[in-house]
Amino acid sequence: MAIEVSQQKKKKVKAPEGLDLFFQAMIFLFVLVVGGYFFMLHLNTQAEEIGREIEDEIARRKAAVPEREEMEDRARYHRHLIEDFQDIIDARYVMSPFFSPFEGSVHPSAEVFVLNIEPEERTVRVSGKGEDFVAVGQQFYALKAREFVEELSLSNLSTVREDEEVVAVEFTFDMQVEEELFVKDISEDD
Amino acid sequence: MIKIILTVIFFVGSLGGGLYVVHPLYEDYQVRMEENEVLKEELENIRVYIAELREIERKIEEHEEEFEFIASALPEDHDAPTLFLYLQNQMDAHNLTSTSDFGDFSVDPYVIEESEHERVKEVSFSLALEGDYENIKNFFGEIEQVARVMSIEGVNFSSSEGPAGFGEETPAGAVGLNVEMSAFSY
Repeated sequence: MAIEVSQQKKKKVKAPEGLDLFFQAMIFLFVLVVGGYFFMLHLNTQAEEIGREIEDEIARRKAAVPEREEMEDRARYHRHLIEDFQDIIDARYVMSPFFSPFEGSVHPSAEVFVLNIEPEERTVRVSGKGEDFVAVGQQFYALKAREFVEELSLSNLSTVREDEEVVAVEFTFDMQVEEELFVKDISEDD
Repeated sequence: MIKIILTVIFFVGSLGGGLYVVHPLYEDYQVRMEENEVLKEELENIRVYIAELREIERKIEEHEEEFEFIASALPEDHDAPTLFLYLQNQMDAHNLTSTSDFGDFSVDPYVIEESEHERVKEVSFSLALEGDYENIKNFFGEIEQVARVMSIEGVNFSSSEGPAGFGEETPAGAVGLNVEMSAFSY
């Protein structure tokens, strides 16, 4: 009987099957976690160190150019200079390109006395006189035929008489002309 | 029995350690690496920026002459006296006489495309001259070449005494000239 009890007791404390394997796996897992902890600690320290090094390098590079602000100011000033000069050159008006085409459009028997030029509006008012209506008409068509004249209108026409005889015909033309007549081609300066 | 308890302890320890110690460390590491990437990018930007600044410096030095020309076209101050002296000299050189007070001017913000330029000012003035048509043409040709940029805003030629000289066939005569002009400065 006593032997039976002892055998039963022995049976109760017997470890479950596979416990050993599970135990060993747990030890391995635990060691892995502890190892992982130190490994991550090491990686973190390393990453922190790299970050510090980069920060030091940034500070060093910033400090390595003490004249950086001066360089920036100089660059800014010159950039503005170029931009502003370009703005002005693009928008300014000159007279030189106007003369030659206009002179070539004045009729031999017409005389121009007044010339009002508004470069910004691209308008030109021409007042003068011709020998007769034919000369004024030819003057009108001579201007109209020119490429630089975009629009042309006759705004005044009157006769000049001496002893009832028409000696001249006065005229006023209003023209809308090409913008190029008031723009200087800066490449010409080279 | 002890083995079972130890197994449980190792299991719980591994699980807890993994979840509450190693994983947060891993997350910290990831954050640090991302921060480092940002810092690296900043460092690279600084490197490029400084290299570009040096390149700009080099180009400015290389084109110093051109910049001096532009700077004289756009002086820091309107410097109207020098401008008028120059125009007076040009008028004398081209036998043109001034027929009204010379030297009145106004300085206003430069208006371009209906909005005020943020830096440039416009010096506006007018001239009333008299002289030969050819000389007037040469006068314009001369002042358009000068470094100080000037813009012709309006011109009025008139001749009360006869042919004004426009056209190839008409003889030259005295021409009156009113001209509205602008120069520019900071």
